[in-house]
Amino acid sequence: MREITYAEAIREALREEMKRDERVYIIGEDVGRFGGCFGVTKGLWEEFGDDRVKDTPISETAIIGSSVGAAATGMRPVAEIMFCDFMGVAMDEITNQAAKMRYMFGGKVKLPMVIRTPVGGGLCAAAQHSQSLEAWFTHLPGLKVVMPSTPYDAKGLLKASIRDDNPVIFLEHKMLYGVKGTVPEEEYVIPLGVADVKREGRDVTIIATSLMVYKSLEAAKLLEKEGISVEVVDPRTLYPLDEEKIINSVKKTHRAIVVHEAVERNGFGGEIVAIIMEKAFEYLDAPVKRVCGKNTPIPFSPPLERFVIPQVEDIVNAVKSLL
Amino acid sequence: MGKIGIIANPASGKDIRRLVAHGSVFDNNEKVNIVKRMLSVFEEIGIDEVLFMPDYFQICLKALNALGRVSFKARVIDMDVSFTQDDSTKAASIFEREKVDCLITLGGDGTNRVVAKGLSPNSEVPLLPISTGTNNVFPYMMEGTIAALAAAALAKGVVSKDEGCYRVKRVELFKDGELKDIALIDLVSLDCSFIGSRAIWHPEEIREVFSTVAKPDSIGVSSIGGLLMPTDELDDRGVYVRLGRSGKRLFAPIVPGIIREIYVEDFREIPLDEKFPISLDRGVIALDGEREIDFFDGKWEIQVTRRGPLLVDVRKVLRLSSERGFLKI
Amino acid sequence: MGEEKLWLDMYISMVRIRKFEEKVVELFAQGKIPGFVHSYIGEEAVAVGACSALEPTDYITSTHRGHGHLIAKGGDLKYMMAELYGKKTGYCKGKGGSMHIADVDLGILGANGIVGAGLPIATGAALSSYLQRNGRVALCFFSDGASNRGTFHESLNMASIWKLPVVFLCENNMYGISMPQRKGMAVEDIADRAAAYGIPGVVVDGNDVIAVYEAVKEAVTRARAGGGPTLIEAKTARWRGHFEGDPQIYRTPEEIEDWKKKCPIMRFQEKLIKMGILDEAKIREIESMIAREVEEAVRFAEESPYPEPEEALEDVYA
Repeated sequence: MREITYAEAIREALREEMKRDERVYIIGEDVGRFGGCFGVTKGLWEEFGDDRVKDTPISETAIIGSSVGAAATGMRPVAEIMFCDFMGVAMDEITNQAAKMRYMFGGKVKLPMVIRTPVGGGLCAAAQHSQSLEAWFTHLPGLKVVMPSTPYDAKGLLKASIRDDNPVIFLEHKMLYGVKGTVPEEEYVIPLGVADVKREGRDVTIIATSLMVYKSLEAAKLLEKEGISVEVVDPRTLYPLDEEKIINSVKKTHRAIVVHEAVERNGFGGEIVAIIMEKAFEYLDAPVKRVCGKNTPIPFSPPLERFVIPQVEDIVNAVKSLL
Repeated sequence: MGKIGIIANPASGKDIRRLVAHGSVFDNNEKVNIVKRMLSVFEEIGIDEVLFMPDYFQICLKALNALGRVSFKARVIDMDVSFTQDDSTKAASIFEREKVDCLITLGGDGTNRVVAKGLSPNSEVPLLPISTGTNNVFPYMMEGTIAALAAAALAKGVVSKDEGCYRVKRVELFKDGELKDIALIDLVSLDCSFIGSRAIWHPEEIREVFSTVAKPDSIGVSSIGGLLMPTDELDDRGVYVRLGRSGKRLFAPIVPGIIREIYVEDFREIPLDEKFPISLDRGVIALDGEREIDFFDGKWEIQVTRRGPLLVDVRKVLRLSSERGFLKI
Repeated sequence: MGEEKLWLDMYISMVRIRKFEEKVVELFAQGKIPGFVHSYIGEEAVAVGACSALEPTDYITSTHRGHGHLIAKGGDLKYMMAELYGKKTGYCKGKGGSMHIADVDLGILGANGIVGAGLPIATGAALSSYLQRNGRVALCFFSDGASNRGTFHESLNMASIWKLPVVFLCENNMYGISMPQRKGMAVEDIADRAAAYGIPGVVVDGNDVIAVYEAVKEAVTRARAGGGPTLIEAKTARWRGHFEGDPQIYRTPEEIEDWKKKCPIMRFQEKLIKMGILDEAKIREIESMIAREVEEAVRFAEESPYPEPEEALEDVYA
């Protein structure tokens, strides 16, 4: 099967959905001829024109706010916020408008809109361009939150997100844009709310998101040499969350570690731990562990950044500590 | 020596003409800037006293405060403020009582009309109107500095009122023989029902125009007469035009940016001091470009007189003052 | 004559808002309406003048002080009152309340509890109209206070660069709760801010329903023709506090009394009487018709059931 990058997979999803449904349009900063700061939308402006690939002024509030208005009146906007860190600028539009408009109106409106935004460190982009803020959004009933790790998942999940009638926060890891993976030529859609077991194992379950899926798989490979069999589960969507697949894996391995790049404190990992405690407590042979970002802003200097973001060896050590 | 009054209308120039006629945006901070420039001139030339009309935006006070220490006396006149156009009328009569040597207004035709209402018919106060918008005939489109120089020349007696000013005409409006209102440039009867947003931009509603001046180079309805019987400030007559659905076809700049085809059914001279009836029996009367009065009954008449304010001829004042060595060191 | 019918409808709509709001104030004082209530009394001419210049398919975004907008855009008093009571039959099935009433079918994209939040939403609705080429215009009601928010800037900027069919209608009632406009901004006229976006900005008398109507009509025509957005500032006043129960220590009773003398309904009523469109008998007929509508709305609300508690779990997602 052909291999394409994560960015290409996302672009393909956008192109296919824009062709399929003329209500779909892209809106964001530098998404037009420039192709987006990470090049994700490159070529789409040439193909679909000014109206459907809307380059905006620096106006995150109006990008999201106008998407709410357009979605409520029959369009299906796909907004791009250049860095997840900038979501704060539009937080009222996300929190008080997009997330709860349907509810407040008694279910009388649909808001089919997607906000795509890159998360994560690794580029020495420092504290305001490196955060993983998924927990902000999973805390808001009314939003769906998607966090794909592979090109295959990114494409299929983005197509599902665009077709979903709810606001979806689609979090792309900027270190993954260049990562290649197999993606079939033919059409497919991955439903939201279905986790994927990225590697089967017997001894420990690692629940990892986004870039951390790769680091966990690498750790699993190292541990395999020492005879430790690790199962890696990628939830893929944080809401809706495939609790069943996570619980089933824990029931099988009796040990669980949650790995994410976001800071540990009040991170989404805490939610997964709580679910495991509530639903699989009696199956556990050890406390559930978290391997997460340190509770600091993301620092600039390479050794500092590397230190606060979970690394393969941190995951290896955590697994060993459970056995 | 010299005492100058300033009326800066904070509400002028914001109406619907900005929308329907690309009217200029002339915000109050810009009016503050004009007053600053004028006050700087007075400071430099040495005027004794400057009086201001109070207004809610405090245009003149803001200008004064921005200049810091000044050597002339500055005072906001004592009056009850209603935050309506009546304030300008009231202030004008106070300035007349105060015997200012020159009264400067910042506003449009509407502002000057209400100022003229406050002055007595034969008032000796020289009026120097500066336009703060695009839709005006009466006030000068002029830099405040230059206007202030002319005001200073008058106030200091370099040029006398007789030399530098002339009395303008006005349209007087009567209901059942009683004077109801005045206009400085034109009075228009409209076949419509409401005062609403005040401006006139639907030519099909215009029935009759009674104007004191009619110049092809003016903006607004008075320009229609200018195409038929050009008449300026010094001509001892007014111009009457009746529009309809047939007759002489003309293009006229009704408001800035809007040149409309109109049909003139009749036009003629209005001799001074002769009463003319308004032919509509119900409708709206616009004074100097703004719908002001809706009427349903009564006998409405107009007359053009030379009882308007004493207008400063800025060019003449500055020419004479320069001949007399004003500003020479 | 078509115009006479329009004027009469405008009058009736203003009376309907006034009577509805008077009843709401009364019911709130009796403890029958929970939560917050922001009365629209005194500002009726803005909602009615503006909505009368719109087509039924056009959109509006409203504010926390939104009852008047909804009624002027065709909202049904029964469902509104039921929503204020928190009943299952309300516009939002009791989930929204006073500040969140919406009816997308009527083009009402919602009242909004966040000041200034409607501006980008209206901009988006206008973008949607533009992209769908459906000729609809979005009209955004917002307040003097909202014009200080960043949403105002971003929305006017975006709408002006793309020439979107949106009308930004600022209801300047001079106070953001207790903050007088004069202390909150260094310009006197919010309309002047339009210059920063290269769009027209006009001031109208917000207590003159015809003045509002004329200005909005022109702005809507311009928007529909692709001319882009307009900022209209309607100067008006609320007669009651920011919310019911506001002690209003920030303004004098005389100030309110002065505004009551400029009552938009009385002004229009006097005018229509002079024009021969209204007379005493007709006024009484209209008032009793509206009184019946309001009574019926109250009865409907009171007789309607509350939602089942578990219904709180519905409508989070589509």
